[in-house]
Amino acid sequence: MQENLRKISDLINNQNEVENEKKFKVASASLVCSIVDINNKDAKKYCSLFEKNFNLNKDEFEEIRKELDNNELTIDDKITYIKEELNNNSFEIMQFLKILNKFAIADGCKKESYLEFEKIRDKFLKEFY
Amino acid sequence: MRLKNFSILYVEDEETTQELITEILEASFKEVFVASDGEEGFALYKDKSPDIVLSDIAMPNMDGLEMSELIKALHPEQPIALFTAFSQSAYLKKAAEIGVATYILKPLEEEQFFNSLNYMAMELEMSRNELQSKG
Repeated sequence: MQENLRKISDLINNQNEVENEKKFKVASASLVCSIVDINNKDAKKYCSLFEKNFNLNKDEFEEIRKELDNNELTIDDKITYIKEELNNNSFEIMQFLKILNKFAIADGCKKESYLEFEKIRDKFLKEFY
Repeated sequence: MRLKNFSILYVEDEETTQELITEILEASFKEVFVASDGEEGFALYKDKSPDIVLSDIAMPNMDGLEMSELIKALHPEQPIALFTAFSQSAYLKKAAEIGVATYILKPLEEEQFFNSLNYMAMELEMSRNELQSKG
């Protein structure tokens, strides 16, 4: 009986972890998409960055990209969520921002991409400056 | 103020801009080293080992990109910021390849300028803490 309860509890915890991980990936991918305009042609170019940094393969990214169209959260909501997930820890936030920065300059640093990265960066860090 | 813990090398050939920015930097940083082109900047970098490098791109003798490339070859993690109007895409592509990750908008906007410098200072603090915790 006790063993069964533990299995159910593990299952629920794992389910929560999977859901949280997916939510984090969606929020992160969404911030990336606001920095760089990723269309189908460009997706390949960014694939290795997604895979390396967010553990997202091409299919997962495509699935998430479709979800983004129906995602009603604002950029501020996503930043708040990611900060909470990173325990508002400046070290973790800086690591996360370094990844976003890689996306912003991956294609030779376009003005719009870089300025959007900065806007997001400063929202994450305003309390730490 | 965080920036008071750091030194900065500022490289700019245009005299009026150099004077103006140097004054702003001197009020914020522990030490400011100033050079007028990439050649002088690189020599000063090797001599003073500043925490942060801030440079214009187009300069005589040696431009900001060549200087950044030499600095990155010595210290790949060196934080470097380049002034740019984002109009020269070939330069920016090269800068990104070299590993320059911070850009300061031209004309200068004070808030963006200080936010970017603070971000670089935070990066430095982070990598130093990492080094300390490793040993």
